[in-house]
Amino acid sequence: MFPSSASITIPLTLAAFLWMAAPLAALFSARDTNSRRWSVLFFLGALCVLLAGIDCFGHPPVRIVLPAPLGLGPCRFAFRCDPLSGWFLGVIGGVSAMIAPYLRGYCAHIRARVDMRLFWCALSGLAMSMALVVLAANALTFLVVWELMSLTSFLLVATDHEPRANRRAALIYLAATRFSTAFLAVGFLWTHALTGSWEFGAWRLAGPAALVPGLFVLAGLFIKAGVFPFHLWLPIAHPSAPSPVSALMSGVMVKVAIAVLVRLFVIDPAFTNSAFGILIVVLGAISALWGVLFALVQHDLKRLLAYHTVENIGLILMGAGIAILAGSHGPSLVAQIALAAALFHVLNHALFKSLLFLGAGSVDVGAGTRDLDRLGGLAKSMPWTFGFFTLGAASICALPPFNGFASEWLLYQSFLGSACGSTAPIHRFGALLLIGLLCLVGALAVACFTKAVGVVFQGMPRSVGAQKAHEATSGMIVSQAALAASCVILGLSAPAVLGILQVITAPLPVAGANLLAAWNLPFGALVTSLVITLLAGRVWLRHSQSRLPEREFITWECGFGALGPRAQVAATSFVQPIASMFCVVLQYAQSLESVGENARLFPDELTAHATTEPVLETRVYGPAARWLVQIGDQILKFQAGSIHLYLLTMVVTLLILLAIGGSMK
Amino acid sequence: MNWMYSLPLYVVHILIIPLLLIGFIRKVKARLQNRRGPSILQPFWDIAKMLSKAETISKTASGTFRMAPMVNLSAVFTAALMVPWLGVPSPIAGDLFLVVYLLAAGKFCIGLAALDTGSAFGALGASREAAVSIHAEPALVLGLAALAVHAHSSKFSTLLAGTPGNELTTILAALVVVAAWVAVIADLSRMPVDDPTTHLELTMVHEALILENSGRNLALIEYAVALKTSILLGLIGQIILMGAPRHSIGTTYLLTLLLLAIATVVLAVSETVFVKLGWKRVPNLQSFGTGAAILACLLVALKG
Repeated sequence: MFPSSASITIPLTLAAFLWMAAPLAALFSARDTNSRRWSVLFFLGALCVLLAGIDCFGHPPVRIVLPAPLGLGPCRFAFRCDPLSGWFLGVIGGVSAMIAPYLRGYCAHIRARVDMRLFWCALSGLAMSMALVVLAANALTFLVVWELMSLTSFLLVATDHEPRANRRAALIYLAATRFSTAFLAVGFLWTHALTGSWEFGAWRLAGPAALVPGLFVLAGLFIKAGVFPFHLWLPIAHPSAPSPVSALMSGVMVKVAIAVLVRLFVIDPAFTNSAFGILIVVLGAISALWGVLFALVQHDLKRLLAYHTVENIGLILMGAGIAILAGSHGPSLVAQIALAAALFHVLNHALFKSLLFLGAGSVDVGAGTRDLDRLGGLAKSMPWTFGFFTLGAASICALPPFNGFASEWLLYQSFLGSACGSTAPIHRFGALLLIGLLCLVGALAVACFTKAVGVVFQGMPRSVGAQKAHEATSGMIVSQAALAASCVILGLSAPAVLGILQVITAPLPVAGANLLAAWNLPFGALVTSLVITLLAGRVWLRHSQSRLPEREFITWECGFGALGPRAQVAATSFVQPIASMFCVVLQYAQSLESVGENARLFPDELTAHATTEPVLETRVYGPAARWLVQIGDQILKFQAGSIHLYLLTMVVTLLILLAIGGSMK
Repeated sequence: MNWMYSLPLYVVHILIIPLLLIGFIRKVKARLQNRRGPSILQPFWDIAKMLSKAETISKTASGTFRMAPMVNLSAVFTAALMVPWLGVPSPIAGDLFLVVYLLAAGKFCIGLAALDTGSAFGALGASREAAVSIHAEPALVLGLAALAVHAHSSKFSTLLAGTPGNELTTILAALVVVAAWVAVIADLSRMPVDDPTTHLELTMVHEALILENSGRNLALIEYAVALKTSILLGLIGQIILMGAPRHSIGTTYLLTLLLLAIATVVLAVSETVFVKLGWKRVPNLQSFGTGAAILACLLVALKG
């Protein structure tokens, strides 16, 4: 161990102790343990990780090697603390710390059904393993902590395993993590065979040699990050997990894969090939569009948010891919802007997606459902949750001046920069089309969140549960307030964030101006203008309201009598115009049934249905899974327990081997 | 020009031009229909009347409904300070993406307010406006992005500067004008996408969206729409001027006002000549705008 690493090891070790102490103590308590102690310990551990993350910026990269007994044969347990891992440690620690106050209030709601001891153990384990994954310095260390992360998150998805749907979700998630690890292991072994080292830092593959192992590693990371076409576990697993866990998984865990991707492919790349850049940009673009389109037609609030994670991961990947492509043509500022956009969006998405998931959890606890068709009118009964959720929605839609806009604007700038910088018409045209795509995705996201916020919080309640909804506990509100405040602060202090990102992206070769110069938005003037007009408007409105008081009346009902909640536009009907435009992708179909004597002109009863089909799941993964099971059934015939069959198999195998051996001579 | 001078100039124009523009459109339309029509100043009186009346609010509505028009107007006002729609450098150096997203923020608030009353009409309007934006925003951004790549900056001041006499700039400006025009009339809910004078709820888009608004609340929304109309038409005027030779600021300003008047007449004529499209055919119309924007991108990609 290097002496200079002391300052960083202290907070890390402290975090490890705190995060291990909580579950160990929890293990010896009652099944429904939900003491404030656990969340305080979790909070303190998270703070330590945040400190360690900040500390990573303080000195040159540090290597921590654990003493021999924890070695893995020829390869030692090693961690690397550099600005990149510092950034991700900051994201992990910061978001975990802000989620901590939420835990107790939410867990009071599930403690009767689930084993809380397991929950606290797995939660601390997940947080710790995520921190270790971004620190891992060699392939074997990485795989061990990666597995730890997969298994703890599987336990968390399976926390509430009474409902059958949740068990199925947990198993699908487990299968996805198996594939992910398998792909990564193959990629790492292959690279080891080519380079003879387990160290990430020592891998230097370029050109055609990098292609195959790089693709395996990418596939493994894509599965974890939920990138199209590997995203199918994400909208299934996230709604099943408890809300703070969904927040942690969707906000932070999928980003851990991005951290590794950035380390191995962009900064100090182990695999260099511009084909990776194209692949990452293309899959990122498809993920963004696919995710937002499917989010649009969801009815389950948490599933809607999960599809938005697919969208945002797509945006992050577009940034990372542009960084690779721009970097492959020699030093350029564009690569730096693109990478900064991706990393900034990682932080932003972690904040607003956690905020939105916590809001969804509060709605779930307060109104007893997440089904959009059974919610409504919660703005009056849950004003705080409504305010923070709307702010989160505005941030995720990239509306200025919140943080989502800052990173999306940088992304736009990187597309613009690569269109200006390149000389090949196809690159220029491609970059321009990406601008159009990003704008389309943005417009769709605005539509989707108008629907989500409007249907959940505005209008009249659509069920008894929504009618009797109650505000979340103060701890849960504090968590959301902290996340919402960071969304606003980060939006306004983008130049400061860029200063930090400048340090992280420094390893990229840069020509000319620095990152801060790229940020030329008149944000100060914008905010001044908004604040002055809003304040003036508010004063005028007060004055006007006192002079001419408003009058309450019914909503216009065309004179047909009082409107019920069912006369409101439902989530399905709100998105109908957009969904029918994209009916090919969504497999959107509408049907109208009319019943009655003169059904065509004067129907007694009308029933409208709109259906969508997740094409990838039903057309690709479903048949593939069935095919696998069928093959399994065929293979099973050989294992029927008949000794004759076994002997025959052995003899046939022996003969085939002999024949092969003979022919090789 | 220093913002000390341009800010008062812009604020004065923001107060006068939008309502005058709306009054002018109505006047021209009335003359084309052989009517005398109301005075050009009528929109001012309308707004004054609405402001002096108490508003009637649905019992279902929450704070969103009361605050949204104000937030929307604030966003549009700020956008008006960032776009050089008068032909004079704007007080705040605006950025293309910032302005588009700022206007989207206003739309988001108005959409939420429409859902807030629990009215099916409002929600229908919000849903249709969102569907229209899905085509309009990318077309507008793509077209302007082509100009931005041509000028190597997404700042309006650089992006609209152009190189006079350059053939590429002229063709590019023509394509972008087509794209922006189609996007803008859709975004502003004008004919043939939406009829601002219709009063049949089922066919309305923007009017359905604001069906529940009344009094000062409605005045704020109407004024914001008028302001947005002048900003976007003024922006199109600036793109047209890109091809023209350079003039002094004063001449450019006068030319911009002339172009605004011409745009208004074109709008009025097209609203008299064309009928409103069926809702399902709106995307077909908008694809012309998107197509023109993509052509502009292709041109920039090939020719620099």
